[in-house]
Amino acid sequence: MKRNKRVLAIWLAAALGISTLTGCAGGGNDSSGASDGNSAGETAETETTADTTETTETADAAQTESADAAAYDDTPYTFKVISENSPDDPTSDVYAIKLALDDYKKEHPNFDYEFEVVKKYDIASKIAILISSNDVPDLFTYEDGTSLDALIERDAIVNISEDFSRIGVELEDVVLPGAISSKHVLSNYEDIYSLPMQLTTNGVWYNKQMFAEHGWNVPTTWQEFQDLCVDIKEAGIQPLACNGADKWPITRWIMLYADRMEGENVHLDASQNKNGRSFRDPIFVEAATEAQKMFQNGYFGEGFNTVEASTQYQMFLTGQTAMMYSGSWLLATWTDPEVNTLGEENIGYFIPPGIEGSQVDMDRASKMDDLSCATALCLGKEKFETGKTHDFLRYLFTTLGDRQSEVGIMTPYVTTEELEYSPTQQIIVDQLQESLYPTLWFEAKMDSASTDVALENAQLLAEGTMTPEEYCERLASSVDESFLAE
Amino acid sequence: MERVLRDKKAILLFMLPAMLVYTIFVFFPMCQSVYFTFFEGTPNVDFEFVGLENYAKLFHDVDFKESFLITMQYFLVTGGGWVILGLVVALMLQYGMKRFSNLSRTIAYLPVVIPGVAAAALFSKVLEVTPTYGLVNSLLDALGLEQFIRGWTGDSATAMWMVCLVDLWKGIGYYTVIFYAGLVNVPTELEEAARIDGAGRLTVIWKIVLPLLKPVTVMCVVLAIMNSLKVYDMPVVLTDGGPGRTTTVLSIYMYKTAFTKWQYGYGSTIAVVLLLLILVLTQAVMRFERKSEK
Repeated sequence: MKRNKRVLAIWLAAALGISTLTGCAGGGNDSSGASDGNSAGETAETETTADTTETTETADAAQTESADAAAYDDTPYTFKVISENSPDDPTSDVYAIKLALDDYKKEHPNFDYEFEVVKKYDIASKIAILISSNDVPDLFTYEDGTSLDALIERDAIVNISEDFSRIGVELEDVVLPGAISSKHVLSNYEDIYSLPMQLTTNGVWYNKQMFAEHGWNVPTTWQEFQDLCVDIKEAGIQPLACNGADKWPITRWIMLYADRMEGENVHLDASQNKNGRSFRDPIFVEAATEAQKMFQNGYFGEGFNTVEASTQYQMFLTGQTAMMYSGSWLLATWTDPEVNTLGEENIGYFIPPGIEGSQVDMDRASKMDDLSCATALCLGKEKFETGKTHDFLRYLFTTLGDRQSEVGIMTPYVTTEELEYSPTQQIIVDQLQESLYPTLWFEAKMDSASTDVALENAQLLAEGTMTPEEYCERLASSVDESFLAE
Repeated sequence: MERVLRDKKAILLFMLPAMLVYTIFVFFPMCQSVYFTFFEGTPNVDFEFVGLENYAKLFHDVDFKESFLITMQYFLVTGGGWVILGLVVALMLQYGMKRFSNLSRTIAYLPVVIPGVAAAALFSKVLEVTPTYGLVNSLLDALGLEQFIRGWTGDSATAMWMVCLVDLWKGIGYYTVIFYAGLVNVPTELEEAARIDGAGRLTVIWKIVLPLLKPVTVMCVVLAIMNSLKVYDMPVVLTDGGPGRTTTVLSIYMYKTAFTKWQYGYGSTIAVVLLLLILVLTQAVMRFERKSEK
C-alpha cells in the first residue's frame, strides 16, 4: 500500500509538472491539409477576375494584365490577421488594413475577419506554433531581415516576387520602386518574401519649444550632441527618452557611433563575419563604450531598462525629456492633436550627426539613415494558395496607399490622390529624399541566436554590469557559430 | 448503489471520460514532447532525428546552466518562503489572532485570487522609477533614502529578488490556508495536556503541533517544489526574463528556445529536464519523510 502511495505521489508530481512539457508539444499536428490548399489554389487560378467598384484606376489597369486572379465566390471565409499593433488605434500602422477589411466586408457579407494582437517579440513564437499546426494566418506582421529567413526556409510565406501578381495586380503597380528596392536590400534571397508596412526613417525627435526657450541648437557634430546632452541635464531636464525595455533602442547607439566612424555597412558586415569584419574589432568596443557612457552619464534617465515605448512617447510629449530617438512611424501620433499635446509645430527632427576626424565625412554622415520598412507584411502561403483571398488582397493593396496617407502614415504604396503633408510629415519626406546612404538596423543581418545575444546583453551593457569588451566578445562568438570568418 | 460502486466495470465507466480527456490533452502531448527530444527542427516541416544529441548539448550550454541556477535561486527563495512563511502566518492565525481569524484568513488569501499577470502589472507600477516614482521609490524619497531609489525590476542586481518577492507575496496565502486546515485538526487535548505539564506556547508548537503537522508540511513542500520550478508568468510579465538573462528561468528559456529559436527538439529536452528535476526533488522529500517515520 505504501509503495502504491509512493507511485501515486510521483505520478501526481509528474502530472502537475506536465504543463511545462505540453507547451513544447502543442504544435505537433499532421500536415495532411497542406496539399488541399494547392489543389484549391490551382482551381482558383483558372477563374477570372471580377471587378470591384472600390478598386482604383491603377488596379483596373493591372487587373486586365493579370487575368488569372480569383474573384471572391461569396462562400463564408474568415480572413486572419496577426499584428503587433492594435487595429483599433488610429495611430497604429495596421489601422488602414482594418479599414480596408471593414469596407470589403460591407460588400461581401460572407467575408469576415479576425485580428489578433500579439506582442512584438512573441510574434515569432506565435507564427512558429502556427507553422507546426499548418495554420499560418492570411496576413501578419513580422520583423524583416534575417528573422524572415526561418519562414522562407519553412515555405510558410508567399514569394512576393513570383506570386504577388496572382492576386490580379503587378507588384510594381501598387508598391513604390524605392520600397521594393529596400525590400531587396533586406532580403538574403534574390526574391522578396514580404511587403512593406510603411516607409520609415530613424532619428532624434526634439522639443522645438524647449530648445528655443533654452537657446539650444540642433547639433552638427557628435561632440556637439554630447555637449547638448550635458547642457540639457544641467538644466534639470532628462536629455533623451529611451524605451530600454524593448532593448533595440540601446543597441542602436552602438550602431550609430560605429557607422559614423567607419561607414554604414560596418555593422552589417560584422553581423555575418563579412569583409574581414567582426564585432571584436576595436571600433565596436569603442562604439559600445560610447553607448555605455551615454547611459551611465544619465542622458537616458533612471530605470531606462523598464521604460516601454508608450512611456517614452508620454515622457517626450509631456516635456519630461527634450529628445527621443525613434522612427517616423510616430507621424500618425504627431499628426493626431488628441494624442500630441505638445503640438505638431513644436516637434523637430534630426539625424544623429557625424563624428569629427572619423573616416566618414560629415556630409555623408548626415545622409546616413537606418531605414526602412523594418516591419514586414507577410502573406501566409497555405491560405494564399486556396485563392479565396486574392480578391480581397487586390482590393487591399490597390487602396492601401490612399488609406495610409489619410491616417498620416508615410506610405510605401502607390496613391491616387495628390498628397498634402503636415509639418512633421514634410520633415520626413525631406529626410527620405536626403537619405543617400541607407543602412539597416543593428540586428537586421544577424541570425536569431546572435540577435538574442545582442539584445539581452544590451541592457547589462547600458546599466554598466557588462564591459564593452565582454559585450562585443559574446556577440562575436555567437556570430562565429553561424558564420565562418572569411 | 454500494453494489454498483464495488463493480470494477462501473468504476472504469465513471472514470473513462476524465481519463480520456487527461490522455488526449495531457498524457499524449507529454509523450510527444519526450519523442521530440530526439529530433531537431520544426515538426511537420524539417524535423530530423538526432538521437541523444539534444541531451549532450545541455552539458555545454552556458545559457542552460545559467537558467538552471536562476531557477534554483527562485526555488530556494520563493518555494522555501512559501512553506516557511505560510506556516508562520498559519500559526499566527491559529494562536495569535483568533479574534480576527476570519478577516485575517481572507486578507492572507486575497493575493492568491489575483491573477499572476495582474499582480505583476500591479507591482511593476509599485516598483516603478520612470516616468514617475512608484510607491516604493516614493517612500524612499520621502524618507530621505535617495541613494536606494532605482528601477527595481530593470536593475540586474535586484530584478530577480523582486520577482521572488512578488511571487512570494502572491503565494503565501495558498500555503497558509493548507497549514491552517492542518492546525485546526490538531487535537486540542494534546496541547492542553502539554500545558498542564508546564510546556510554554513555543514548546507546544515545537514538540506537539509541528510533528503532527508533518503530513501537511510534506504536501506543502511538494507543491512548492512544483510551483516554483515551473514558474513562468511572473518573470515574463514583470521583467521579460531580463535585464540581460538575470530572470530567465528554465521555463522561459525552454519557451524561447522552442518558439523563437525554432529548436523544438532542444526546447522539449529542457522541458524534460525540468520534469525530471521536479520528480527527483519530490522523490527526495518523500524518502526523507519515510526515513524520519522509521
